[in-house]
Amino acid sequence: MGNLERQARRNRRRATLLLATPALVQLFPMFYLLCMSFKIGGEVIKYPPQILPNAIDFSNYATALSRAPLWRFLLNSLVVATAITLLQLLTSILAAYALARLKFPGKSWVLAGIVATMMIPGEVTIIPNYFTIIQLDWLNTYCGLVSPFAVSGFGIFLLYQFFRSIPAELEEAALMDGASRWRFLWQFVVPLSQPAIVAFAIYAFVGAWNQYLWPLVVTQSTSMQTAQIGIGIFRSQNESTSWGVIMAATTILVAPTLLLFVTVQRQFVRGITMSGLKG
Amino acid sequence: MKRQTLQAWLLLSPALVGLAIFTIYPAFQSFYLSLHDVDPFTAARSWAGLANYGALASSADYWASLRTSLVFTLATVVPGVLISLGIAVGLDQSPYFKGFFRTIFLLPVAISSAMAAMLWVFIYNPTAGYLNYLLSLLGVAGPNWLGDPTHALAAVAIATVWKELGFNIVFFLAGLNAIPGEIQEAATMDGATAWQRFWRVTMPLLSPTLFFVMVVSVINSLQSFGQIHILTGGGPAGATTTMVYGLYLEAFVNFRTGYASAQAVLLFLLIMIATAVQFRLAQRRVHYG
Amino acid sequence: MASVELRQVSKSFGSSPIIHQVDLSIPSGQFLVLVGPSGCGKSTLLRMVAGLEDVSDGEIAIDGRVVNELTPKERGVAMVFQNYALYPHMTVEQNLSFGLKLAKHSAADVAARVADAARVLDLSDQLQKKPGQLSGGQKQRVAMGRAMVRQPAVFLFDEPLSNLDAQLRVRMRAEISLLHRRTKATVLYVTHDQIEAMTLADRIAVMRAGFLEQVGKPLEVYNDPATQFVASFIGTPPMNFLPAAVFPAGVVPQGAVTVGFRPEGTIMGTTGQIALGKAKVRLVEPLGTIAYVHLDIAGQTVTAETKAQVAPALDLDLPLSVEPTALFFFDATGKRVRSQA
Repeated sequence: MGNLERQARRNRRRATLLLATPALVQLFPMFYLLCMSFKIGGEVIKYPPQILPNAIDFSNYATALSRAPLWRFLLNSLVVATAITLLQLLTSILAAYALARLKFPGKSWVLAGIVATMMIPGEVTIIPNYFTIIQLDWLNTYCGLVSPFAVSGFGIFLLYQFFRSIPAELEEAALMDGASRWRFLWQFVVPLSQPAIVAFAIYAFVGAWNQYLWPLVVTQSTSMQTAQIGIGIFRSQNESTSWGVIMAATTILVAPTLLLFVTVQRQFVRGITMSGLKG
Repeated sequence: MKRQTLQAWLLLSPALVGLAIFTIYPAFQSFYLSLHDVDPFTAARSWAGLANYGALASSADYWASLRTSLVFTLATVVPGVLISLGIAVGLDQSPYFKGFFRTIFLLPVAISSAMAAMLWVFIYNPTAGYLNYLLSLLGVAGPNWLGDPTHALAAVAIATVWKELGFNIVFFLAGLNAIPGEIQEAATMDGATAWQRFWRVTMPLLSPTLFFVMVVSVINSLQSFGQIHILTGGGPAGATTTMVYGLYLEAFVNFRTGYASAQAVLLFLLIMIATAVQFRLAQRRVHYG
Repeated sequence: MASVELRQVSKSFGSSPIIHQVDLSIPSGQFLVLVGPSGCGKSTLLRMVAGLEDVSDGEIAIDGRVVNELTPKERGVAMVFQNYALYPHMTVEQNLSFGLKLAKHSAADVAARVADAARVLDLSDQLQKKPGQLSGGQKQRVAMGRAMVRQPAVFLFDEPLSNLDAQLRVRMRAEISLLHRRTKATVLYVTHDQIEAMTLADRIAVMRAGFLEQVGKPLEVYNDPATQFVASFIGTPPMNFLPAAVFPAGVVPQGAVTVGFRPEGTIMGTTGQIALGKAKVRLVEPLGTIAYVHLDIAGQTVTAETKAQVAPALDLDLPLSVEPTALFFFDATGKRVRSQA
């Protein structure tokens, strides 16, 4: 084995060792969460604290489910996140296609305007949106949870970039073959932009799922709460014997996005990288 | 041509309507509200001019929240960027189990800040929490992390850094990958050691990414909410009340809408400046490839 | 200037052998071009001399000293990369002086060398620019300058011209040749372009699939190829090959199965001593004073060179003939069989 190979191997070994500790710290809270969720009653406050549970006992999970409608929370999150993702996709695809492919006066202004909305943070829109939702009588409803996020300037911008990269000749050929613009959009442009669309969809879904401030102010009854807000019920339960239950509830509510991440890690990462393009 | 215009506006209308109602109008409306006094009970509005802004300028609480925001941002961005840079460089060395490491570092990206906070709540428990136990093994008496005003912000910051690491690592890895291997080889041919290569070639070429990540982290930090709400609820004694959290309290707990709107406008200005900087850096970053 | 010697050099990536026991000797001051098709291992061989790849077996010696364990800097070699590999964040001047500053040369020395290289390569006006502002040819010259200022014992070139357009390539070839004569440097130059090889080299080494097929002066390799591969690789248009059966008895020596002859040796008409039979004209490519004529014969296509004025018409049936001295014979393994006469 030559010098370079030996050095390369040494580097790899050293990197592995150096990364071990941060990886442990990174993993620990999640692993600890899981372990705690299996600890029943006083086992949780044993001192000195022990990481691994005595046994894998699911009774905390049963208790958690009985204390709060966890499935309902997950369902709400699912409905809201799916609705937001689909609406964002739809509005973005339509708008991006118009901007990328059609000629019309004022196009550059519209584009600039949409890009400008990307710079408006949620904090400055939340109060008036709250009043708007009240006026529409959509407080504590799915509509209220979803509507302010139905359109994403970022999504429009992102898909606009992608659609633009599709050669104009392709569309001209399709039009000559008698296809309408609408058909071209859905049968050509969308399939060709699949990587971007999938990555954006995941990004939008997870973003919507993990929202906190808006669901907090818009939901008033437990039955409408999303997973993020629902967990707050458990936060206020401070008796130490409840900790295992609280951790079980958290595990249930955290599992969906974690599983999604593990399965589609690459598109997830792509979604994050793309989000770097936004304001 | 006219047909295309009609088609275009038709396609654009859903998006434009949504943006108009829920993004553009509220932005102006916030500014409008900030110039009014809004009664918490009747929602009646009376013109107040710049009175709200004046009240903010002389409010000790507001300045405290500004200070808290800045301290919090510093405490999360600086360690966050440095640690994630180090990890990204480590991952770039192709360690064993690289894929496994990557997944672990990236996992917290998938969970929300509220959930991340839930994970840390019990670790921070002063008597039975694991953190203080570890500290006691080192002979250090751990404080009441979430209940002690002097340590609460640090506690929230640590949890935030933990959660945000993966996000930064993704960008740093992309930046490192963009540096052509040939350039490293040319530096080797020029006689540079690994250390010299890192500081004279890698870091300068990574600097656009570095600045970019810093600005994005600052913007994210300024907007942190979920973990504060779950871990400390803004306390103890306002120790973790950042600008965003203060805004939430004024708007949705105290219902002082006009006053809160003024806060929102100021926060908007702050974030918009940071966002504009980020936009410019993003262009430069893309150019460099 | 230093000599370079490769003794029984082999390379394997994992368990797959890439390079097989290569012996190559480059005397001081010689310009040796390592040429071969993509994937033959020539770049890997170059990188082993540079110190960027480990040697699996064998020795590499520079000026008599075995350098297998030495870093590139310690070997006294400099390399010009295919994609220039310029530091994008540094000016031209900084690019040129980077290696010197690392080696702790005095500021005066650095300035002198940089100025000298810039003058020779016509870069004096570009010194404060960054690589992003330069044209392809300028970037290539900066890459050469970076190697030059180190005044190395050996220059290594890794397909430096493949990213340039045709015209630029011709100009840069001349510049590289000029540079070599000026500096009297030892050069190991890798390319897949046999025209570059023929025009630049003092000696050519033809490589295929990790083996060195032939080493020799350009004209030697052209006129006296050692294998069928070398014969087909060197020369444009490539050599014609026909099975031995096409030729009359007694012409082809024992053991030879393929006969090669170059386009310039292919005679349209019956003037040549050995008749090959009738061929049909398929394509005529006029190139100014000469023309290449592609004909079908015995189920194969052969190319004949002729003066443009007498180029035949398409679809014409013509007899082909060759002189015996224009023939090259190859056995079933591709090795050259030399006629006894």
